[in-house]
Amino acid sequence: MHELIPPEAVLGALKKALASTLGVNESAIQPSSSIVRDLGAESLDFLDINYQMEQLFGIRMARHFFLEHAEEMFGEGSAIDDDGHLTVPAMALLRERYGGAGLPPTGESLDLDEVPALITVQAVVDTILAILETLPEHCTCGSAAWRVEDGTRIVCGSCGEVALFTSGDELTKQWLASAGPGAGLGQP
Amino acid sequence: MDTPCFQGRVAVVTGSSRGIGRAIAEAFSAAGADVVVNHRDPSPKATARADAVCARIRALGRRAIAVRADIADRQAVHQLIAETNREFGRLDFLVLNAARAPFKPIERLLERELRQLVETNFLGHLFCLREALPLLETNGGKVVFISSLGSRVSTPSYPLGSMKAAMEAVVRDCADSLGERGIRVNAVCGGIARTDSFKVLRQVWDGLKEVPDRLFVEPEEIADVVLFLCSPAARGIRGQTLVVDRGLGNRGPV
Repeated sequence: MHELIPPEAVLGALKKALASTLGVNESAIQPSSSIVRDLGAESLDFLDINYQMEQLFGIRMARHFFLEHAEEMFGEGSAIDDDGHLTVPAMALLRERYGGAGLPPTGESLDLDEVPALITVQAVVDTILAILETLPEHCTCGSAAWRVEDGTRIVCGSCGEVALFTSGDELTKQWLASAGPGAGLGQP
Repeated sequence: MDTPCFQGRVAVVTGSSRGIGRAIAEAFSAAGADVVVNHRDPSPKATARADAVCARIRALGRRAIAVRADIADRQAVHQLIAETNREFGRLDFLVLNAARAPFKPIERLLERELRQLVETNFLGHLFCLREALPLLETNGGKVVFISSLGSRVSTPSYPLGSMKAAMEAVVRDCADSLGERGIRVNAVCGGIARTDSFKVLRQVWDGLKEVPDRLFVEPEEIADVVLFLCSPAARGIRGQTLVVDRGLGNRGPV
């Protein structure tokens, strides 16, 4: 953990973006709030919020949900069945990624349309932190003197270049490559 | 501004609860036509958006109804046109605007995504066209398809472009056969507008940052050309695609 940007700063920035995009009061936003169910977001709102986070932190959030990546990596039908329900391995991955809140009892499946409601404020904070965590040890100029500008931008203290992080999609694929087979998905 | 050629006429605009479709629906009503506002998403927010468009149209003294129908569903399209006929008793202008597609390279689409791409953005338009023909034929109707620059310019992660190109070919073909039946068919190819789709596009197309503000087209600019194509002034234009992009498509590499 480099902790150049503390989790509280990410949570604070995300709350601001959610409040302005969704027209909700910042004080009503809890880490455990479901962004869809409790805060009223639609899928396009996620794009707006992600975009704001990208501009703020200089990162690249995932363009595709992990279930889409799973289908691409492990084959069509591996994560979502013909009726639009999550398969058993996909449910196991969902539990691992989004914890217990709002998930049905073990053995029951979810419709794909029900999945966005599971995404909490904390889950997005964790995603951003995971991306920030991929900060390379050294800048391309060789310096290891990272510093934070304006509270959110990590730049090289030597050459001033902005830090480059692994993208959200790449991180998701790396996670699926290791967690997928354990959850019952085939080898990628 | 009432225009005689639109007064008392009826337009169906698919996908008109927001974006370019909304601008077209409102332009028709401003010119004097009654409008059927179609949308797909059954969520309360989407329904509220369609109702808000209808309310703005009614505020102009026109009639408007919102009809939820997924154009990829032939039965739903049948009901959309039946409801238009029941409510207004006629149909003069059909604007094929609805679109729905994932944003990723076409070779990465899963089979169900490919099928949905074709079902909505190709078959769906043809379902609408065929279902509307009897009504359009009665009044010398006009059909306008809304295309985009992706039909002719390689655009990253935009498989919709191939369907737009296919539909421009349909417009070319059926302009003649439907022209014999008194129906005029054309298309408008829009440039980049700052609609909801833009929010997705800017995520998958880094080069978008290089496009200067002055080259973004307003939805109303596209709507104005749709109305022109539906007016008698465009009587000699058939099977054409008019590009409304502020010249963006003419630019070479930056």
